[in-house]
Amino acid sequence: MTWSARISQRDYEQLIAHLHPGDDDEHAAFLYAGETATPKDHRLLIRRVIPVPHHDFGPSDRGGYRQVAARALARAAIECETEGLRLLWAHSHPGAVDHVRFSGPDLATHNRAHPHMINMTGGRPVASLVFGTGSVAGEVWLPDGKVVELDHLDVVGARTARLTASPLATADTSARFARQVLMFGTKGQATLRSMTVAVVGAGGGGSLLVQTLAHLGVGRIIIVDFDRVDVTNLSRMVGATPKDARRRRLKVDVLRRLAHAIDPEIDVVAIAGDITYEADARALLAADYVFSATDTQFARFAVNAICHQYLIPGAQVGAKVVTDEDGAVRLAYAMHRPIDLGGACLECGGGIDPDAVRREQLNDAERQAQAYVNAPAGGDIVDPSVITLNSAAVAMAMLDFQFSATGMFPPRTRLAQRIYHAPERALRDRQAATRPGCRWCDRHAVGGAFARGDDHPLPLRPGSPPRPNLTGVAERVRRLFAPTECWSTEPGAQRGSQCTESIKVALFGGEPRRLRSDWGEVLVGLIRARRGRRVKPAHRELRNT
Amino acid sequence: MHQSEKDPTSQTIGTPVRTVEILVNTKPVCVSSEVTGAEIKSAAKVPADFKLFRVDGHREVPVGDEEQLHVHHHEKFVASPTLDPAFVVSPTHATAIDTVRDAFPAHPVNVDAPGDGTTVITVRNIDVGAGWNVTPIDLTVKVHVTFPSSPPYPFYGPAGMARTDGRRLPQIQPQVQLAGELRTQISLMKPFNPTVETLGARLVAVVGWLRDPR
Repeated sequence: MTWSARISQRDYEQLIAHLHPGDDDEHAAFLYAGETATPKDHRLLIRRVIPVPHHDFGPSDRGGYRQVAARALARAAIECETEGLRLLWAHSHPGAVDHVRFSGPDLATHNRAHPHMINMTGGRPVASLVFGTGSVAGEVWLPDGKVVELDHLDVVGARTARLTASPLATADTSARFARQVLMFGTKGQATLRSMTVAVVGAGGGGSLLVQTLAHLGVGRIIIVDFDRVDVTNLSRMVGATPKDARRRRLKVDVLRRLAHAIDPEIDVVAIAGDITYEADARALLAADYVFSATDTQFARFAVNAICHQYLIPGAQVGAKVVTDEDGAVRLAYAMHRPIDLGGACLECGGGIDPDAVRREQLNDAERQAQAYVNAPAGGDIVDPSVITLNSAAVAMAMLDFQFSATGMFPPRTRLAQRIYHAPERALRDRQAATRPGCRWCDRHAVGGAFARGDDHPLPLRPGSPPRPNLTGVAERVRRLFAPTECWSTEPGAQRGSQCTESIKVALFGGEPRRLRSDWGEVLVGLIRARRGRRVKPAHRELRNT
Repeated sequence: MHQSEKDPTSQTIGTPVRTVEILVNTKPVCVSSEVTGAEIKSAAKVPADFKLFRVDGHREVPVGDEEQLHVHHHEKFVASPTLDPAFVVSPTHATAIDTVRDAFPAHPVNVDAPGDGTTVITVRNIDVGAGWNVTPIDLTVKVHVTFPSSPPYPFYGPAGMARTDGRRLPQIQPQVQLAGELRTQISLMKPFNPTVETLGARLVAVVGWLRDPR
């Protein structure tokens, strides 16, 4: 099991400015971190940087060069123990550039101090990092006495970089990327290939994102959406065909096909799920970047939470068309809201409507009872949507992603929200500021979630969505059962005849020629056998057989 | 918490002495309710050179080794070491590196400490003149743990250095290994007296020779 660390670009720049101010001397800092464990590695998530002031870093009286005062360490340990964070300490080696390693005195200090530092911080892992100007080496000391070398430090934000103790060998890139390599360099292209990018929402915006990511050469794409293609999607969902709409294919399956058509070597993880449920949301933790291209505010809230809690940069893309009562277009704009982990989050930046998040969690009865303002009678609001606006939003987001992932933005770049007002042909930036106390982006907020990783519960629905994730024949059966499931959960509904009727509609009214008759017999037989009971158990039984 | 001078009568007129459980570095430790800082460290089995602090909310309050404390049940203390990093193995090497930086103020100076006690110092981008097939060069010297008793020698440039006029110099070996990399070895040896010469001055002398190798 490897250990790595992750720090936001803003914090890294603050740290390096302190450790390497240009005076060719050694400097030190404390880092407070959360932690997350994935199947592949453990990751320390740096929440705050605490520079050790000059008066606490005087000459060593133990034979070393300099010395972090015991009082400074005690203060840091108390803060970490109180806040439930891991204590990391960092120092610089002046003169080290792209190679760095611990010196003998450094290692002796680890042996002498680290076991006690673990106790001082409540039995949590501690770590030491040494920084060159473009390199880092580290050791993680675990409570069970093991010592693990830090594999790398990821700097995330507008200017992404992976730092190691010495430069990584760069693999040759495929000839298909020859023209891109001229812009990104071999290292930049290799970085894109090594990345995992998640796209939440597989509709108009999501399909354009997946298409562009596949062309750029991103190595692994996670796509999450529970929805299916219908005929109204065909005007703006890249890769979807009339056949997909007739068959009501899952959108994620269509986009997997699209990505593989562009580049068969891409690893595509298609999840017919809902990230407002914790189990599905956890799939995003493997991502290096998350795009939100979903219409729902709750999903946007989930992306915002995951990105800040686990230090994953990302962006929200969207388009909006507002018409008046006569149908005339009043507003038409494309929007790109970056999550660069250095500034305001989507909540502080006005990208999430808190009451809409609440409304989206209501059940049908609650929604009817609350009858919120502007709700159409008996149906969802259907907004205008057009591929050109989606394309504009995706273009802005993908440019930022490309420059960020390949480290091409200059230092101290901050990404503002960007809106393209189509009727005015005007591109405008919108600056947003962190709200003091914001639990997502204020790293000093008491009980805040920024970079807390697994220490902080994700405020999402527990478990998985009540929608089985099936494929092939089982998926076809699931589709047939969908109307009966909906019906059977309604209180007071008569069971039996309506249930069978639903199946008949699905079997013979929907797409009779595309169903094998034996499946219809199996289904009707199961319905009869389960008459008066919920259909879902029968469905599970079928799946087990 | 009350701090008091050690007074043998205090036990009879004040709170009676009893055993209490306190937390030192988050671990429970049993001590007498009247105890010194040194006794707390000893009971917690932390090294005597650690500094003891009483935790007061989010603040740390220093406790001297001889300081007499009256402690309460589950009162928190932190016993903290110093952290003593060093980017080179010894302060002597650090001082020598400073002299190199002083001697080449316009050039980056890279330092690597391989962990065997040596320090590898490289001065970047030094112009050695048109007489060489490569310029500017990175000039490297490996300083041993016994420096300055042992002189700084040899020096290294990029692999394949040669005179443009074809002259072969006995001091130049264009293909040698240093830490797994091919370099040119520059074998300029002369006595090194640390009382009158610094490492920076020696490197300046090497650069002077490279610019005019006679």
